[in-house]
Amino acid sequence: MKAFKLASLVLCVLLLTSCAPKLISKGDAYPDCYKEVPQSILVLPPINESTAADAKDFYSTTIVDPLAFAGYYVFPIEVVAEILKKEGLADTEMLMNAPPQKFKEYFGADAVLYVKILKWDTVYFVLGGNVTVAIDSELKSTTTGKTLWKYDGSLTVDTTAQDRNVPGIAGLILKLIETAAKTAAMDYVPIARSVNYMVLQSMPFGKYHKQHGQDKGFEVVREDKVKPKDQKK
Amino acid sequence: MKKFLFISMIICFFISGCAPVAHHPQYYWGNYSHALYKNKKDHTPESYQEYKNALADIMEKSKTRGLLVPPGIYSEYGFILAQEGKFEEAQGYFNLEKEKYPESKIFVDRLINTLGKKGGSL
Repeated sequence: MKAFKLASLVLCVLLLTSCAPKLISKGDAYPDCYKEVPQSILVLPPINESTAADAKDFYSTTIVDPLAFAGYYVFPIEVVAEILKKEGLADTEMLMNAPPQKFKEYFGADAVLYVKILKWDTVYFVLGGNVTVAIDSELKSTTTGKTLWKYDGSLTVDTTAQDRNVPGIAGLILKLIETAAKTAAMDYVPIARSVNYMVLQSMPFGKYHKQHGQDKGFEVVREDKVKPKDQKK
Repeated sequence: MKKFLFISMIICFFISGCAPVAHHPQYYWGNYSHALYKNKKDHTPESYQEYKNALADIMEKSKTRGLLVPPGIYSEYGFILAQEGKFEEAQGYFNLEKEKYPESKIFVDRLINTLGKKGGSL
């Protein structure tokens, strides 16, 4: 009973935190992005802060199409990765410390997208499990070096098995096995793509989007995600 | 005995105030993401072929559907051809990328230049 109470409390908090924050307009959140209007984005290999070693490689297969849908020219990630490798720049730390202006010079990119993978996890608890992907991303101008856009997001998919019509301990064991199988088979990639779509909703639309230049007033940006607060000019 | 039906999947949206995700189908991506993922995971001749086919399929279907080929696809395909030693053929695709997406010019020119010097490899 105690556990149930705790669980409902946690759920309430989650619901509140997910829906309550004030939404502000894209124009108020990202004035510099509307000022500069970048057209092309270079996605750098992500920084992997999760415990999964392969997250970095797999994540890069999920970001291009959401970003292109947002209306930007996206440099081919696979080709860029090869070039960076040949240039001895495959090390993400090194890329993070390079001035963004370098990417304008070398690739002709208007902006660079830095992605941090915070979570790429599978979690089991006594009678259930879930899979989580969490990312933090930031777009920087290659002209001014300023942050044009930033957002973070996470998605958790519950992999707890359904209750079957099996009584007693046998039913319990069946559930444990099913949860384990479901959790193990859960593919991170579609989850990562969904996170990308969610996060990129707040990005000002690029020139290939039908609503390019018309989305300034869209109130879809959670104020608490944009820190420190951008001052209006 | 009672039968309990539980919703097995609960998706929690922690961001964007629970607003729905908007998709704008201005591009056709076919099997791209999955094929690329599989190729990264498996590294077999089959997965490589599947990835290459996915790129060809995108270019073909985009054309028949009157859509712009998504950014990067021409160069990605051209890059593969160049690495297979078909540099001439690859150049056609690189030029298409520049033509459809002028933003790619500096990048593609550099790519053509580097690949051309070394006969198709970086």
